[in-house]
Amino acid sequence: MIGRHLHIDVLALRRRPAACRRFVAMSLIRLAGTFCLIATLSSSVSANTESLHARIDQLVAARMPTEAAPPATDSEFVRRVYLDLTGCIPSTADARAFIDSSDSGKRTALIERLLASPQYARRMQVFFDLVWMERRPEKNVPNAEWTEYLRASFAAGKPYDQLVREILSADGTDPTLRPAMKFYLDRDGDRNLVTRDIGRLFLGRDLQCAQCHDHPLIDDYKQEHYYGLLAFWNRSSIFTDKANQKYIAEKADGEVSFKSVFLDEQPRSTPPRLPDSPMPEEPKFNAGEEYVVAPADGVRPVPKYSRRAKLAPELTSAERRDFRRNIVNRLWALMFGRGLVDPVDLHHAANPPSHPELLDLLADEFAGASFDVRWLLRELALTAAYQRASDHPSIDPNQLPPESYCVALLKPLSPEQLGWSVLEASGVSAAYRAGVEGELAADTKFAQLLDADEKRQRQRLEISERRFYERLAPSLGEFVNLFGGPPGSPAQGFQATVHQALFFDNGGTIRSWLVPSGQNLLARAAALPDSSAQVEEIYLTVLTRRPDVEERTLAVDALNARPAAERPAALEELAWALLASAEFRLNH
Amino acid sequence: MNCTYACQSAEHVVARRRFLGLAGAGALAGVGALASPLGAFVRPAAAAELQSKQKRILMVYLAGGLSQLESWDPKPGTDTGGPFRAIPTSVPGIHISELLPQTARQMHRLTIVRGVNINENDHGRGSYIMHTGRVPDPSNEYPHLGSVAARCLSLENDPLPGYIHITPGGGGGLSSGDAAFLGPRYASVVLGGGQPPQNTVRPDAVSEAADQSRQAIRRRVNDHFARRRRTAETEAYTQTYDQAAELMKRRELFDVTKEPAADGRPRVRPNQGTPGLSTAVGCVKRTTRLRL
Repeated sequence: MIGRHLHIDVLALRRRPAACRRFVAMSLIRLAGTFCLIATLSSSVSANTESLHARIDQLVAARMPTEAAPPATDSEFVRRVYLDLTGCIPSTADARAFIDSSDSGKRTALIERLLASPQYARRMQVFFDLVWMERRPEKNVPNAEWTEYLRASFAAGKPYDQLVREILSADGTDPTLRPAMKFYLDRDGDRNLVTRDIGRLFLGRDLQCAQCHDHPLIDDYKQEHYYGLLAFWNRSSIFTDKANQKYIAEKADGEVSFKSVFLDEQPRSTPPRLPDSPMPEEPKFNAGEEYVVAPADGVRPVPKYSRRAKLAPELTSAERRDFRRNIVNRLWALMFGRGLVDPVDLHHAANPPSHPELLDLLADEFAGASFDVRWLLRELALTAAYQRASDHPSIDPNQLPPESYCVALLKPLSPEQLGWSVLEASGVSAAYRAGVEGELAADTKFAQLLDADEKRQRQRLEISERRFYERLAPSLGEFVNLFGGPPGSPAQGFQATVHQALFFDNGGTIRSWLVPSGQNLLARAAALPDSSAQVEEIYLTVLTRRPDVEERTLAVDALNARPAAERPAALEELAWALLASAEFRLNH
Repeated sequence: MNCTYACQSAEHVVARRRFLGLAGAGALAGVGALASPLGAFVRPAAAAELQSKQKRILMVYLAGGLSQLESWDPKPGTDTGGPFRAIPTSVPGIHISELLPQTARQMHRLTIVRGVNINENDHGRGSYIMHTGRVPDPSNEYPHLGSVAARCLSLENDPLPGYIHITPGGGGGLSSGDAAFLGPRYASVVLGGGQPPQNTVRPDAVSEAADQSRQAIRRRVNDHFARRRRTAETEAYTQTYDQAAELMKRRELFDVTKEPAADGRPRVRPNQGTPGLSTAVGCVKRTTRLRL
């Protein structure tokens, strides 16, 4: 993987006037922002009584170099929030109902409804699987068990810190938490990989360079940090019992020592210790008394003192603001298309957040709200910053610094979002949903749940969603292969490839989804009485908006110019073109 | 640069030349693999013209490649020099490892640069420096050598990618990061495992007229969206469709069955795995390793 650093090379800036100008311009903008901030803070000392989303907007506004874009249209908003909170565009009916509703509280109500839906838990499952496993190939823990564990955790509103504690402390002895071992087991327990990924994914610090020496360019990343982290795992390994069941075992001995490859120095040793934590006291036992279960052939040893067991509670403790900052920054990036600290795994003093006070506010409020991911996402979705338009009436968005949040940033759809959205738009999803609903209605046991209490209704929704998901998820494979990044490395920025275009142009998948059948998009459109209604149905379904006057006229004229026999083909051309457009490819 | 191929066949030399001359490949990079005969596709007259004017770059990037001590820069008789000796070459004063006797005879055609030092311990960063000539700087991404070559060497209106990157594994695609500020037009088209891109044939179900019609609508929708939201992302995405169209027009370029059978041998030798570009790549790769 290409190493990254955020070191401002003054000499390089001197050599490159353009970069220098940009740097100076940015500094001035930041400076201006600071003055505004002071003004804002002094005028709103009692801000604490306000909702979090209102305070977020104040802090964002305080650093805006210019006027913000107006709020997004209802069409833009409904598409955006569906994609962000459920991972898919809305159905035609949902989009139409929302856009046509005159209820002034409809945005807030929609956010609530989506966060309560089974699709929200699914979206979080997909997102956190990507963050933590990075599309690594399936190894020791079946993907199905792991994803169900994640989905159920988010459906139940499990606090984020508890989820992390489970993942970092599961050892296989609690059968309900076996899937949580995936983080360790599917990395084959490789101590350097585990160390690097704990630093990167839970503390937002990519300490890889510090494996061999202090980071040459980031003063904050020391070799002792790397090995302090490694020492938690160093005595542990994967243990396989006679039934071929995997566990994590630990020895009572094994010290960690290290020295810089650059320096001729004596090796140093370190106990398990998180960056900047005090030196821990470790219990000592007499020789022969270190184990609860002593090591022996075919026996999983259990030490009296487990270094690994200390990791989860220490990492998630109230002292670790970096643990909180890492996750709120990642969730911010999920919603806003860019982290307050960017890249998300390079938190350090020389790469400060664009809005330091905002990052700390989010981190502390999130902890204060019991690490409730759903609550935080609701607050983010409720901000004016999130609900802004992605175009600006007077300024080219390219001229605005991305971290100004004056306009909504364009976010490329993830492979999963893209795949589910094509399935939704073409009408394949609706057919599968109808199939599942039909089965459930025919099943007397589930039919009873229809009118039952809220909890059982919810259960029914989850069962229905799960069947639907399991049947259609395999269709996403091609999208993940073509649009996803390489396994085992962080999700890259936008990667547009000729292979993706060829897949849309010539691949059989999308063409087969567009063949008119049942109530799918092209069958529905063909049944409509006039060209204008047909054009509207296709635009609304694929792009979640109605065509503007110009677009409608052009498309209607083009349709009317074709003989009746060519109408179905012409409708397909329109639907395909919208699916293949940049507007569809991006969340805007 | 003339390479000495193990089999010495005209097929290897000539077809590769034609590929380099005609594919519009400003650069052809292989990671752990080498470019290969791609076939006698079209326009021999144009090939001659291009050969006379066009410079091409073949970059063989051996990630985890052989040690310089056993290849270009032997240090015999030293603690770290290893067990092999140095031998004289066709250029007086230049000695290389005894493991490269064939290459030694061709040394007058080669240039060794022994002064390269990246001052960098991290492989990823080192690789970036080798590809871009720049120290990684997160505020400025720089184009890779291949993208620069594509920008400077490929013909003005050549529809084909100017930078082809053959990787040993599967996958494939376009690495838009390669081109940095030069833009996706100069990014590498990745041929994973040397295989031609999938989906390069327009299906029978879509007539040419229908395709033109739908592409015209797509372009119109994109223009509408980009009026106020034109970004690097929208540009990159829309350009891939133009590139796809051009690639489809010239897809025979990747068809190994159109390779010449100049010396009467079968085009695809049976013991070399699946037909396609990878067959040839595998062959040349072996050559590369043993008899560079």
